[in-house]
Amino acid sequence: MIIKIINNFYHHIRAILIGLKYLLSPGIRITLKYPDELPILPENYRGMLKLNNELCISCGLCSQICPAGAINLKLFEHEQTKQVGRHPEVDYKRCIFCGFCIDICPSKALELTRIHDAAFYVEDELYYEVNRLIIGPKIDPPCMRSKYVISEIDEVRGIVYRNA
Amino acid sequence: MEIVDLILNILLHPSIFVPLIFPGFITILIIIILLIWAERKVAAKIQMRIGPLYVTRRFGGILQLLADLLRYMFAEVITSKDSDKFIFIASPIVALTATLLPLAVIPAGSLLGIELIALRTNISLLAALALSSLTPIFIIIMGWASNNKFALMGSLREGHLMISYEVPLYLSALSVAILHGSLDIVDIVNNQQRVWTVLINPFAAFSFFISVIMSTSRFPFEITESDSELVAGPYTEYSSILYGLVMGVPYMRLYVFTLLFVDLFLGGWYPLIDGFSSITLIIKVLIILLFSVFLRSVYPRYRLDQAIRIGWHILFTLSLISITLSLLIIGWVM
Repeated sequence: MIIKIINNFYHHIRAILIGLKYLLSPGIRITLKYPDELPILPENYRGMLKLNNELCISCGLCSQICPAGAINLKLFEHEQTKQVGRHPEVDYKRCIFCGFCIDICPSKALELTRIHDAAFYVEDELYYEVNRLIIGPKIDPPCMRSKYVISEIDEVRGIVYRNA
Repeated sequence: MEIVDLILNILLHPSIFVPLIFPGFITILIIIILLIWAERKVAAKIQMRIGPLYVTRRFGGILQLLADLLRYMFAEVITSKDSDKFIFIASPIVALTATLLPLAVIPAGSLLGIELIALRTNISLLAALALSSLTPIFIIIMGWASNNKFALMGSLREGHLMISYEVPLYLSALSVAILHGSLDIVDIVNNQQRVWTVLINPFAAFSFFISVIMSTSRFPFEITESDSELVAGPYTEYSSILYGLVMGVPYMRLYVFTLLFVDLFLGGWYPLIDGFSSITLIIKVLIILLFSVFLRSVYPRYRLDQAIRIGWHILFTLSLISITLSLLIIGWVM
């Protein structure tokens, strides 16, 4: 009984000392300060979509494959080329960023961008109409000044971020 | 100029200065703002995070809590339909007042020749402990008035905890009173001029400290609020400034108890600095406060039955041992 209590007490002291060790040791921090530091994403990162309307053949396969029902087709006439076709529109309220639409597209009209922050001030902006989808997503103004970092696996510290 | 003198005289009178400025309300407000920031920063450092940063970025987000407080102030006070509205709104305010009451009898050294004690009695230890036992009652009332199952469960847990920490708390304080032969905290502090009580009777200090941690729901015993199980315990239904008040209550209670702990066990305002003996006191208080919020990053949470077992099996035994030790020392010295 007494030995058990003393043993418990020893373990408490040890836990507190380990906590103090981490408190006083020089900082190991694995947080990425996201809007200030942007990670350089891999080549085929599944971000938001961009449409090349000249390649689009209006087949509607993207709308059929979409598991979340986020893609609708809409009749669209381009302002300059006057080219008419049924082109996809993306609802980012529903999109799960699976990338099936890019895989299925027979003419490679849809392409991936490496921008993933689908955050807007107005809810309606989450719905990308055809002409906005042609322009593609833009980097948020707060992220314009931020620096890019590369994430690497370190054996001691876990993840480290190196300036690009 | 006579008016200025008059106002200064009123402000510097101990019965106004103590509850209002030091160690009372204004000091508490500053200490709480810094303490919660420090708690979040320390936990972040140990868990390899950064913690609050973006409010006053140059100083590491030190004003984060002030920003939160402002947000609480301008939010809407929502009372649920089935709650007992008068008690629901009144009990946080009364709890806050009751938490601050023991400061009237706890001495805090002296500043520029003013003795910082609002009310000098020869039973101040008893009075402080009795006044400090008011707060849990109002926490239980809060949970009852909310008419919410989480709040009710939380206040039941507070009730269960209360009976298991109050007995060791008072017994270990009593052993200090036996050791120094006085119930007056000023006498007890003056007796520790050479040796602190914690060195004579470490059992009493240990059981008092753990009871304080338990009573203010700091981390290994954060059972009342336990946000992973009970949302926020008795405080579930509170919003806006009332939430700010009820979240402040445990920290104020921690501060008051820490002041008492330093007075009883760590020699109060000794070693003396001439004219500013409160500074010694407040440094000790800050160290103890930092240690008690540091525990958050080390410990998980005990179950209720484990905490009650610790209270009755270990702390109660330790406080009985500490009373015996005090009696033995007194007998040996006599």
